[in-house]
Amino acid sequence: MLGAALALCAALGFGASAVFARIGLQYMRPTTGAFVSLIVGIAITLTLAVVFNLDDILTLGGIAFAWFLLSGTLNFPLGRLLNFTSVNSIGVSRSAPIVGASPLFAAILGVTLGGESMNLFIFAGTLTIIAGIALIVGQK
Amino acid sequence: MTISGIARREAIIGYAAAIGAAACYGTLAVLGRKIATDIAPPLVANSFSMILGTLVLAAIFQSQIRSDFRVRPSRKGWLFVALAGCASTWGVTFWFLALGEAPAILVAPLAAVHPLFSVLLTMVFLRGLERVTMRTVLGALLVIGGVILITFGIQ
Repeated sequence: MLGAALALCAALGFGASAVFARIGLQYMRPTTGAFVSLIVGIAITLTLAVVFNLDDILTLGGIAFAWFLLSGTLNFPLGRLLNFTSVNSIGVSRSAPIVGASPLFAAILGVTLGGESMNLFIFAGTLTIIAGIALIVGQK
Repeated sequence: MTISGIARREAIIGYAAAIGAAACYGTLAVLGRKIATDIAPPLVANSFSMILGTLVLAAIFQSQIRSDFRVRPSRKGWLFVALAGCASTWGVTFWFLALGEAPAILVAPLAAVHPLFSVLLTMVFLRGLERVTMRTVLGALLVIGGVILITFGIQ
């Protein structure tokens, strides 16, 4: 029960983020908006990381930073900036459901590169997501 | 270019950016699993990824960011993008807390409903800025349903 409530809190945070960004991006470019939102995010997560995982931070090796650079580049200059650009261009209500379809891409990668097998759930889910996106994109 | 041509171009950029963001986050889910299990705890990985990602963003777009800082956008602009950063961090933190309390098979489908929260909050707080159509709500529900099916398929 607690796990479910925490997961819904996470969903609320992700959902609210796009709405706040939509309002803020009326006053600045998506690049600056993404930059400012990241500075705030760093202040919070770094504080939490230092409080709860200081020992892990002190023992990080050089290879770890190469992985962080890869995931950081994919997530923030690319992911968040594209997300903010789409929120700014087509609005939250159209952008959020499409961005929310990211597990489809994870599944495609898993099946094509990760050697995972396509099953009925993944196939049906893929078709349902494509139908949903088509419905959103197809409107005038 | 005509007004309708500009609007059409803006819409194409917006949809392409949304699909690009989904592809980035989807790839990151695969990469993140590897990092969180083999390299560092999730909180540490997220903090340092954010720092390095921000440095890359600032290096690529420094002229745009500088010019926006020089113009000094209104306080409302700063406040709301900062709140967007807080909300996003809130989401990631609660995601990890949820995974600590319940299995991913329960957490992932519940967290996947976030587009529905976006649509609902848009209807309440952005009434003057955006019109939410029945078609958008139906599309969002289909995407959420599809994400839940894929989550079950993967797990």
